[in-house]
Amino acid sequence: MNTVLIFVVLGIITIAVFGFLGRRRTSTDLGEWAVGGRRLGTAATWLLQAGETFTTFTFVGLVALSFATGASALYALVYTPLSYLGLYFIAPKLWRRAAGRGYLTQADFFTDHYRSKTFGWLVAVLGVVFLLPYLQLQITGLGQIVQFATGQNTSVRWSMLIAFALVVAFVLWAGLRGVAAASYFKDAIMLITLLILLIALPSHFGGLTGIFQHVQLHLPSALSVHAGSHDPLWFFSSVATSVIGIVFLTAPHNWPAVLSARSSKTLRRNYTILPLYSLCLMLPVALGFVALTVLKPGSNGNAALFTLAAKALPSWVVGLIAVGGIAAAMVPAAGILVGICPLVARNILRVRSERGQYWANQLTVLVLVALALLLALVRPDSLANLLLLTFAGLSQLAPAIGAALIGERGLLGKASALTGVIVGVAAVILLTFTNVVNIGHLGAGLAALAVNLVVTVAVEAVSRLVVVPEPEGA
Amino acid sequence: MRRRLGTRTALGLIPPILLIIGMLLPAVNGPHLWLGLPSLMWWLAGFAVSVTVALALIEKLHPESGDSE
Repeated sequence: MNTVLIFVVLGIITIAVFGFLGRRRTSTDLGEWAVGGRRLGTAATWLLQAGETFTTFTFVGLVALSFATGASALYALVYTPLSYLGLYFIAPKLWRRAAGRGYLTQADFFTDHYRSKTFGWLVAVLGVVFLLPYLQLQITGLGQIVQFATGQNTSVRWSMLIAFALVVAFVLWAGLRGVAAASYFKDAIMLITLLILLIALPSHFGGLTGIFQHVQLHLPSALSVHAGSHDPLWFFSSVATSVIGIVFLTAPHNWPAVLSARSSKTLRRNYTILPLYSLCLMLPVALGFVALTVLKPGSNGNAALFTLAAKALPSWVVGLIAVGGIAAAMVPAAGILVGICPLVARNILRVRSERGQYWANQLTVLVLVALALLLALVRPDSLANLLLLTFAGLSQLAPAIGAALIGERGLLGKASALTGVIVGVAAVILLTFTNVVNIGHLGAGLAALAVNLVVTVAVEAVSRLVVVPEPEGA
Repeated sequence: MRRRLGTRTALGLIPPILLIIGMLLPAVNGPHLWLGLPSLMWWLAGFAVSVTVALALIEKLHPESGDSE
């Protein structure tokens, strides 16, 4: 076993140990498991809310995007602060509503606000279906990181299996508190490794200033968002899709981080500081520029980080970097499980007893990880594209969530909100899997959202003019 | 109250306006280096900082919401 592999094994075990240590007390209460009993303080909620900043996409995909497109990769430094700006206003409203009405999931919110179990069921199904590729992305990403770091294909499958068996174990044991505890380790190791890389790699290849001067001389267009496949339209539509998805909490796995907060003031305080944390995203983008000057055009972008590290750094540092990457896969995967498994138990299967819900939830953790592992082994795909596909589908819930938070009763009735979601999701599927309409570099999520909004407004207008008001409890 | 809400909205709009200005200015979104780093990177870092500054000011103006602490 080589040095890198030893680090990989120790890293996987350490992350799981942190996850196990998160559990406070023995409980079969789904509220404690899914939202930490709504008692998490500033540090824990901070790490959960910041969790989306550092994932495998950040660690591998963003370096690859920067290597491929240059400055267009800075869209990540735009959508994260903008999202926190929006969340500062939206999340406290949602927290107050959820705390008052006892929501544990996104679908609970839909079921209660729109007084429709069918709408809640549909939202829960969409959440699970659209986040399964995102869970798969974490597994595929972990496998790629192990492969790039060790240079061995044989280690990939067993490392994916061991890592995700341990994820299942600590998620079952500690729930959201386990995710929060593992996040302490994840964010620390990722920051350390990114800083090591940012200091060591440029100094090995001629200094950061020298690298950017080289880019200015030979590839000046890489320093700006320019014409081409990643033009300003791509830049702003990617930002818009991501911001809409995050601000309106369209992804069910983002809800526990909000619902678990001790108070809405905790949320507001965190969202004020988090934009500064997103400055760390400049590190992987800068590393992409290093790759741009050192690697041959057409090299595997996803492997760029580890190709550079192997050229310049000792194997134990490469091992440490691999641990950072593995943490960026395991911990977000655990967060996704905590976000979507209660959807199955509470909103899809609709188990009535609290104890029954808890055990149905635990069983769902096992089934979903098994399914995602199978997908990862059979149909691995591009990291960045999978992420954008997930956001495109889920962003169709934004109008229904946003409208529900305006005033006590919200702006939309059940008919218009439900029709908008169905039409929006159908449009995403059509635009993603067929060539019926050419939308250029505009994302499928944004184009479908426009269709969604038009249909929602039209149905709402018609229902207000023609249809009698919906009866209570329909 | 209305004046306070207006100030909050104005403060919240400053960062997105800064972002759009930067993206439109060729001196920012162009092949330039400021202190050895891409000009766009500097501008977007400033944009991220401006979000924190704007939210900190809004938080200071925020009326009591009656949350249990």
